Amino acid sequence: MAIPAHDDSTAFQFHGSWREFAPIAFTNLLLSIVTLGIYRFWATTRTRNYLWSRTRFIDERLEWTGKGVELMIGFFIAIILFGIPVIMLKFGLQALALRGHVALAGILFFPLYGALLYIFGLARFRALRYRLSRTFWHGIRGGSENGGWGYGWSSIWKSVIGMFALGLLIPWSMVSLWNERWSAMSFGPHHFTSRAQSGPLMGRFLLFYLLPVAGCVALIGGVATAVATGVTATPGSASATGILFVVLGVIAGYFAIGVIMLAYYAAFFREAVGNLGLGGIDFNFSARTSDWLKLLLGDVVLVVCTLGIGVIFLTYRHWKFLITHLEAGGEIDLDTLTQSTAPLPKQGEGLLDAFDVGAF
Amino acid sequence: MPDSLDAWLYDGITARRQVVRATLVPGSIIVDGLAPIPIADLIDRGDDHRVVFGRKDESGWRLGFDQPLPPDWRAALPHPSRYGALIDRIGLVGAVIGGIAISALVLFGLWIAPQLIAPLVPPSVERKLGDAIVGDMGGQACVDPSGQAILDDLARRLSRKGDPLRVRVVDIPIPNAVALPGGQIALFNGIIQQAKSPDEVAGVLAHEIGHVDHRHVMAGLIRQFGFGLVLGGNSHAAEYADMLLSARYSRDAEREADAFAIQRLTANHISTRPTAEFFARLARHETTGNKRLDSAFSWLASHPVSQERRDAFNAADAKIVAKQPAISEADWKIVRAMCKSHHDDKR
Ligand SMILES: [Zn+2]
Repeated sequence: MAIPAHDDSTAFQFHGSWREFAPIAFTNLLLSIVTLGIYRFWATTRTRNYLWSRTRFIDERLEWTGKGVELMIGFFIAIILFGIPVIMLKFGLQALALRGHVALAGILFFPLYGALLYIFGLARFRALRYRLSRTFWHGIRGGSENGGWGYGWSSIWKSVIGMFALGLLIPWSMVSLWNERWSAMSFGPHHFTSRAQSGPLMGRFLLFYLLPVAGCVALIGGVATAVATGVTATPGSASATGILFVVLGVIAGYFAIGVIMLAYYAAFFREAVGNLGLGGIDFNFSARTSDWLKLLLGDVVLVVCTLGIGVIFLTYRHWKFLITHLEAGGEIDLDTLTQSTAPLPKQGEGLLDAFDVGAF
Repeated sequence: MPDSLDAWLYDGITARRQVVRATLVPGSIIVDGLAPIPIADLIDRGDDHRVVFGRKDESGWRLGFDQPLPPDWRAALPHPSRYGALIDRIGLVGAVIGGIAISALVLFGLWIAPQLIAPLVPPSVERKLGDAIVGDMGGQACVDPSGQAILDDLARRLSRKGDPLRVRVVDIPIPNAVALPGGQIALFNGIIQQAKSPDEVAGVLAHEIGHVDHRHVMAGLIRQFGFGLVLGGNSHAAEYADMLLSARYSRDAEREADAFAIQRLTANHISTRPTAEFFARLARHETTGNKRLDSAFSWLASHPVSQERRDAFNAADAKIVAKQPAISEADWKIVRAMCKSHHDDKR
């Protein structure tokens, strides 16, 4: 079965509607509140059931088969695994330092911090593995034979290397971790291939370093203008213009950082998804910086205008964004797309379900 | 003649979709070419838009129908889960009411239980816990044997038998005093320097001893732990509940500590009026002159001084007979000088 190329219908389509989703979202919120939050694992499951079922790939929709109880068990495991290093970091080291063993506290800090990084990497890997193992298409699921133990180590040393050279290696570290993660995943009998490069991202990443320079130039320009106007205007209005410049400058600075981050992430996702393959299929992601900007501004408007209630629709919006911009081309042989032999993990994705994004 | 319908099948082995005929017989469904499948093994995986069944024992197996099921099929086959098995059984309204009731009970238990559990924690355990959390206060404690002896004697008089107390003066120029786990009480040097008489310090000290006597610190630790455990990482609603409950809880604890302080001051013939005046001075920010520092770190931050609390101390004063200062003028001078040598050491 070939994927219709450059048709007006792309391989991935989303058919959901927020009217259909609203009853799910509101009952989820209600039940989560009255159960002191315990229901949220089932809420996540119901949300995914809906979103997956309204997502069509070529001729058939996706199916989510995860269960609330799996997420709950995963969460408690994560609490224990994360909780021990965090409590030791927070209280143990503080107590040691207070009692004068500052050096010992310093020595212990690094292994504990490392343990935390390791568990975070492991959790990220396992979240992806769990999601793929619970996603069915044509009765076939995904997964990974890999437990992610090695990935945990990679996430430590690659994150550390990323910080070298004033953070210039961060794109490399992100891309390389993405490749490592996805290359370990499979769907049916096929392994994902992930060959993203960090080179194409460097241009946008360097904007982060350019920003302070641009800021200084703008500041000098602003001061110069203020001084120039101050010569003709009264002293009071000159200082008022100065304050206005500073306020506007700070706002512009924040906005600029936000836009650069978006531009970088947009490029990252295009590069990362664009170099992902599975069997005979190649994936692509079409969202540009402006699309991301629209998504985020839409999020803000939605949440602010509904006094916060709109938060329950964010998952829906983000999933819709993901699917509408996800494209695929190539060919699938349904007869050789056989059932995955990867083990079915028993627990869900733990703490990462709280962040929700970032699990891919 | 049994019913049969057109259906499609994914066998869960390959992705190929098969067109089949499905027949309903009592207790099972027959898909041509396959052994009869017991209905007990089926799960509904459909929704409003389509009719699909899966199997409990084979994760990828799907039997789907492109038309709505006839009523007798619908009645015989399993029903879809909506909110989750338990809630489907009791209904959404029942689940909400039940959820509210159980949550209220849990929160009530979390509020009440720590004060009941705290007295059961052995003092030795609490002491070790206190050591682990605060240690020796980072060498900030002012060591002065003569001043310490005077304070220990005052604390002994103000406490009840069996209160395991360790009072220390800490060289921090902020008007504050805290009760820590393990019966440790830290009097900040700021509170001693800004007090106009030893009776004021005695009042604050008696209040803190009240917290130790009522095991408030341990109860606070247990309560925090309990909330962290039950509500940890949960929704914002839970955080608000925690906040509201702690505020309510600490107001009760403050009232208990005040009552203890008034009772102990009265028993020792120490006037309670200076303490009330001290509260009033703190409230007027006439302490360090640094308002920001005061409001953030002073005793006031954890002890909002209400008119009601001040009135309680003032009212008690009339009933105290044969008043005498908490400590003598000479001893008071020694206590006020406790952190002098500490300062000199550092320089
Ligand atoms: Zn108090």
